[in-house]
Amino acid sequence: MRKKRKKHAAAPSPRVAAPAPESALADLEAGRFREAISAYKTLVTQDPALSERLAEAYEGRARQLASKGMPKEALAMWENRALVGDAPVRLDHFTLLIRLGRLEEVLQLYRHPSLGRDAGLLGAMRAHLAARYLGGSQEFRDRLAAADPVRVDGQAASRALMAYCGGDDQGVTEALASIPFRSPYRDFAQILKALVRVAEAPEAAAEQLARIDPDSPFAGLASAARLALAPEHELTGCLRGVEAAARELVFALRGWPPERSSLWRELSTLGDEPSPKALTGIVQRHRQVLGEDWSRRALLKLMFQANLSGRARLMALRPTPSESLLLQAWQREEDEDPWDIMEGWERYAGTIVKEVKPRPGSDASLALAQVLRRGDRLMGTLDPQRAHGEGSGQLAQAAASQLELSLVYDPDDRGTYLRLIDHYRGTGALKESRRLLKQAQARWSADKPLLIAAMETALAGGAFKKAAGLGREILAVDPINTGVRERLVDAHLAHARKSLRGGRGDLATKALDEAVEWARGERMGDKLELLRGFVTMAEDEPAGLGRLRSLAERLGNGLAARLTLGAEAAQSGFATPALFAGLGWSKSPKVETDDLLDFLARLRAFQDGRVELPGPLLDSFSSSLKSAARLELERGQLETACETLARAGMHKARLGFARAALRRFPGEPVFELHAFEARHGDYGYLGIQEREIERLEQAEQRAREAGDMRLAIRLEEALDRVWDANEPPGATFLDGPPGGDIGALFAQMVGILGVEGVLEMIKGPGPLANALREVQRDLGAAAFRGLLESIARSPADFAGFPFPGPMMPSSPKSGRSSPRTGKGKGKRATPLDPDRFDLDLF
Amino acid sequence: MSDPYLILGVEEGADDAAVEAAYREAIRHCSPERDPSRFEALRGAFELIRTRRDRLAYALFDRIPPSVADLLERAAPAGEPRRPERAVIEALLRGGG
Repeated sequence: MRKKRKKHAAAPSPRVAAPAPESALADLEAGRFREAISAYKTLVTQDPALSERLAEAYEGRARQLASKGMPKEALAMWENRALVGDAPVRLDHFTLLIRLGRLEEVLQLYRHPSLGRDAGLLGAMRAHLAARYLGGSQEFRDRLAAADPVRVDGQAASRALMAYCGGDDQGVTEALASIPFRSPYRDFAQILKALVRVAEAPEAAAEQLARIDPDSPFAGLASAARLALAPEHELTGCLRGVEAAARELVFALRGWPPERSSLWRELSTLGDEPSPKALTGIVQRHRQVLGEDWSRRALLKLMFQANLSGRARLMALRPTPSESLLLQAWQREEDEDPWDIMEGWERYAGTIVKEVKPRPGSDASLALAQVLRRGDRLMGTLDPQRAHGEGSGQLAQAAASQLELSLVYDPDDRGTYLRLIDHYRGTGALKESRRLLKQAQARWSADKPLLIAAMETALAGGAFKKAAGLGREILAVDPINTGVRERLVDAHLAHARKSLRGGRGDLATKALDEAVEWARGERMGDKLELLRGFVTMAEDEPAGLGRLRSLAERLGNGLAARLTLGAEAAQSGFATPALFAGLGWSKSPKVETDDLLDFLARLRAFQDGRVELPGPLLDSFSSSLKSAARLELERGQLETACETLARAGMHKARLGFARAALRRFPGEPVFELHAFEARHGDYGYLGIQEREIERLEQAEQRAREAGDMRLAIRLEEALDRVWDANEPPGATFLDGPPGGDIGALFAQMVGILGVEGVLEMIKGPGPLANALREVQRDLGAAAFRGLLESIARSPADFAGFPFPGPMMPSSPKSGRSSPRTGKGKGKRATPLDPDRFDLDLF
Repeated sequence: MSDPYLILGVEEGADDAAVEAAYREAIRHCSPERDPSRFEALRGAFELIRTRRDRLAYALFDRIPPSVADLLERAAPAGEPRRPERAVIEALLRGGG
């Protein structure tokens, strides 16, 4: 193109068309000031009336350049604008002149005749001059008229500033008193008043400072002062973005010594959020000032956070063996595996014992107890809701032994006693529960939580009178304790049930009457009414049935009603089928969503209350629940249904809900787990197909990726159980015994699963089930059952049975070792052996 | 700040009484109405090191690394507020136009 232009340079200039006023206006309105200036410069020569537009374009361009940090270029535009006719004075032009120190032009503009007509603009210009005056540029003071408020009030403002900096608050007040409200120093006076109050009334000072207009020439001072009032966590970051003077003001107002400011400057070079690795260097450099112990602990945490390699750790800190174990224990906590966590802390506890030899009551002794309690505190290993998972029994046993040992080192922790008492009661170990109660009550005789624990233990042991007595003791110290009141009602109800079962309707009525004394509210009333129905039925069946029928109607006559009445019947010694027949409940009810949710909630309540429901009763809900799985439930409701049914051991119904959930949420790990466990929970995890294992492994992976570590661990535990049940070649009957006694090993299987278990198992999928079905077909169903029964009766006599060949599923593709030893949930011995701790301490 | 000792301004060897006294004194100047976030920080710090067992648990199980504010407070605690130099305010006024 250039070449072409050169080529035609000698030719006559083409005629340049004059810009159109419309396009010039469009440029102006669109902020294309450079183009607008160019166009209007031409247009003004044709139409002088357009000079206003040209001035406007200059003004816009000046502001553009100023905002780009080009003050000199901006000033040139303002000067060009001033040459275009009688353009009014602009504050931006004035402030730019001040900033550039163009005193003569400042004063010239300040004295512009047009200003008399614009008091607002004049006031603003005066405020800027005032800020400049106080900012130390006093050379123009004598050039101002003697009566100019900038000059008149400036002296008082300067005195006030001097007094403030000198700490003379009285002087500040006196000097500010002579500054009138409409003075150009008004904002300054407000700021100074706020600054005086910063230490005593920071909120009031902040409010006062917030009232300063952001366009005020004093806004910079106000904003720096506000920063000094910012919360600590915001301050250090904010300081990086402000000018040095603002930082100095903050340092002074917050009392920062020079060493702190200096360290802040060093830290500020690391960015807004310094990495742990970067902070490690700072701590290393300043460890003398920070203190050796503090620095060491800080470095441990930083190294842990920075995930430094072993070599880097060594270089940074040279951790002691116990520090290394501490870091390992922290790391295990991140992985959220309860076994690993307990093991990590157990190892650390070992070093405390070895290194410190804790004495009773010493810090080391208490620390040891804390370490032993950590696994349970962190993972809730003894929580009742964890108790239903497979493998949880050994985990809880291990956790309980750690807690028991912790009481050796710190016997004054009531919470640990309560934790253990509850745990033992929940697992039916009432003797242990009572032992710990006795120890705890010897320390805290009238302690309410211990009284409650004692009452619960008495109830669990069927000592209803004792429980009632304890309940009264609790209510004596805490009369509004509704929980205890309810438990007391429950105690009387339990007593009434026991009497009813023993054929003592009179005693049952008496217990119910006693319960009435404590009952409050509709829920407790319903419980009483229900049991009273059964007491009545024991004496007068039609009357009792009538009472129960009306109660059932109130409950909706659905699944929830059947569960409630059936459970009460079972607890009171009545036959559920007879009751249901009496109530006309011969067919399974059609289930609606509300009824299903009510049923599940009541089932959970029975589980929480550890009420054992008879299998036939639960089985009677199977067909209803099967159809209920088709109801449109939300994801959370489906999960709750699966969990509740799992706790109840209702695996068929659980499988129905899990499958329904997987149809709507394909591959969802939690439902994969439920489907798998429900399919195999009753069959002892034998004969699992490889496809299922892969599916479970994929679910575990997805759970990990989603950060749901608890679910991932549950899935991993399920996989472990598969491997545990399918030991490597030679270990079980699945692969044939070393001596070839397949019959003895088959007997072992019958011993594990029971006759019904084996019969149930062969209905399931997998090669083992297929093989057994084949045997059943060969022998016939009755003979097969008979064979199983004879094996169960006398397993030792059963040798040489023609059991099918090895059926261990082939190793999965993932390369999972079998069985896994590193994370053998439920396989470890109790992890804590007090002897390992050199317990010669006391 | 994350270090409860620094938040409450107590030594690491402080006993229950010293920790409680520091907490009471701090909240006397910083009620929940006056400065909720500071109050919450004080309350949280107090809960972390309230008793001997709490302090031991903090020493063993806390793995939150020190923040910049922790390092500053530990190395050179802030003292009493002071008045700035006049030159500082003048510089701010010159730059604030």
